[in-house]
Amino acid sequence: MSEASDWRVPDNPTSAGRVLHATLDLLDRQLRDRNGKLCGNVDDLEITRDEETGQMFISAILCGPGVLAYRMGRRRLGRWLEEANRRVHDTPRHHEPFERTRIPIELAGQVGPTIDVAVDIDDLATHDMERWTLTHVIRHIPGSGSRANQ
Amino acid sequence: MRISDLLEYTVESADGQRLGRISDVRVIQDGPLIRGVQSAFRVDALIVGRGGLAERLGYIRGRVQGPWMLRVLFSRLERRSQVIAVSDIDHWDDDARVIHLVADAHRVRRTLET
Amino acid sequence: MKKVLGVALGVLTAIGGFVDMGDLVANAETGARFDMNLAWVVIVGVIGIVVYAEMSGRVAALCGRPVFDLVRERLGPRFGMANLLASFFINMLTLTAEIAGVALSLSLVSSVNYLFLIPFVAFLVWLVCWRMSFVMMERIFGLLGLCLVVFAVTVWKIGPDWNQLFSDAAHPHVPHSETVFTYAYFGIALFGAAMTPYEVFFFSSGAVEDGWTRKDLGENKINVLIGFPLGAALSLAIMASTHLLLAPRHISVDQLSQVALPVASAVGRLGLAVVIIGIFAATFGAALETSLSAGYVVAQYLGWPWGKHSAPRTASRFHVVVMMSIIAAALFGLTGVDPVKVTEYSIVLSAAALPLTYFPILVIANDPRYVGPEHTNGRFLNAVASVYLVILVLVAIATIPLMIITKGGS
Repeated sequence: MSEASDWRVPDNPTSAGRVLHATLDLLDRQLRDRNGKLCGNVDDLEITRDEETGQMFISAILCGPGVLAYRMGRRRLGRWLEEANRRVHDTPRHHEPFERTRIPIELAGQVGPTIDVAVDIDDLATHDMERWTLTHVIRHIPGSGSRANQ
Repeated sequence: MRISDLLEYTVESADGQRLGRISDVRVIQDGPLIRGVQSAFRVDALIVGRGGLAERLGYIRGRVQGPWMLRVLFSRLERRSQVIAVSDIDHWDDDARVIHLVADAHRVRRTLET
Repeated sequence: MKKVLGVALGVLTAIGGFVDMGDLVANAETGARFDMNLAWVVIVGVIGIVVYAEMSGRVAALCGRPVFDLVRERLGPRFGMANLLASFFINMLTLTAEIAGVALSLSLVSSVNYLFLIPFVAFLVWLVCWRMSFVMMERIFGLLGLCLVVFAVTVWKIGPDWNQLFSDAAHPHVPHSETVFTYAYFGIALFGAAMTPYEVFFFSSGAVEDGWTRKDLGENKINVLIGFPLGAALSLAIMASTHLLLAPRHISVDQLSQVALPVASAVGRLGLAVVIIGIFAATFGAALETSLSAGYVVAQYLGWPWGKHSAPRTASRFHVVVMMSIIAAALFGLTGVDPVKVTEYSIVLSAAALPLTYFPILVIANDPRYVGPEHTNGRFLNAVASVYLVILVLVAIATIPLMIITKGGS
């Protein structure tokens, strides 16, 4: 793939860490899995509040069917889609269904033009519809498997 | 909670003055290490008041310099956003979706750069 | 030497690929109705597409992201969704027009009614999108599209008064038989035909898939700066040929067959055969690009895997969208809707929707975080690009009222 441009980060005097703005730098970014495959966008972010210290952390990236709908205001539609997706995916479950739309933030690496996450695309809900489409539609059409002649 | 929920909250000062709706969240990647792998993304401040399209596109803080016409247009439309440090939060009213701040005297003054 | 050959091939493909159903219809109709009085619009349009394509190509090469991916990221999901719906709908109209165009060109040689040919054409278009080497197909259709040079041959054969021709084009006015409203409406149509958005979606997605890097920027510029203007010259040849041969006989263009009429008249049967090949290639190539664009815009907005190079099973949903779009366009075409009218609406609405995708690309091409600090737009380019943004916004505002006032150009 082509080179990404240099991701410059502003200097921040009050803290040694990197400064990001959630809606500008994290939301709607393209995600890539550990093999470099496109696996959805950052549709929403999960924030955890620590009641004792009052601190808040971004704890997970949320992505997948229904998550974007929820964010755009269609709360019920969003929840319905997330639920429908649980029914659709028919591979053995490694996690609880809800977690397939949730990527813990510690798995996020490089934040740049795309955000790399240390997961396999198969672990994500966003891939469920892809897999369903593959098995129920695409596989039945001849010629789907091999690479087109170059 | 999700950030999309948080973005619906409004912020009120201690004397009940409505400061505006949360439009963005500033995050610093320096929190306590989780699983020894990555620094946590700690929420450092809430940005209140609509930054608008200009901010989203990068014209605020001068990252995008051109074209001249758009830069001028967007600087005219620039809205003033307030930066609220997380330490200024007194308590949350989740039913009304309001965040109440500590008394003004105790607040930390923050800007977009600090 | 090999490099020069490669570049030449790229340029030739760009020339042959420039013209599609929209250009054929728009240039032929305006030549017959308005003589050369709208020729200047083609020139304005081609400068616009050169600017637009250069910026999208540069952005694609330097940050590996195609247009629609960036639309959601920079404008947010709401604006992005509105953009997606508008672009997808207009794309569908365009695809219907192109498929009908292919069917019409085949009907010209087979004397089978074009409606019967639509399902066959749709299947063929899908088959190429599904299986065949795209690079090869692009080259083939691009080069075959060069057959449209026969329009230039037509004009030369007619042997017009060249001074008069250029003078007419350089001093445009509204003809007596038309109103300023129809003049403006067809101007917008011509403009939309030159600055087709699907071209840019396709172009930038292709650039990302082909793995363009900084090294390819030069070649991109050459293809665009030489190929597109020469393609526009072909469009003007179409306009001149209907102006010279149809206008004096008060023949207006409302069928695709009439576009070929001047060629048949001036060059004879050989010319007719060549122009039909050219029309077939131009519309088929455009049908391929529009079908894939339908998939690109949806997949890129939603973050699905997409692509034409790798096997279909690596991008299932993308291919389903492409397939469904082709089927839907074919069905719409089968309702017997007038292909020329559909084409007109598609180019006019394309013109109106241009700001939606042009604007974010203009901003990103200026954003050092995406293209790097050395490759942001220069001042001259920015000045030109800003002028075009204003033009696009004005065109967008004027389109719907004009469509209503002129009742769709009649």
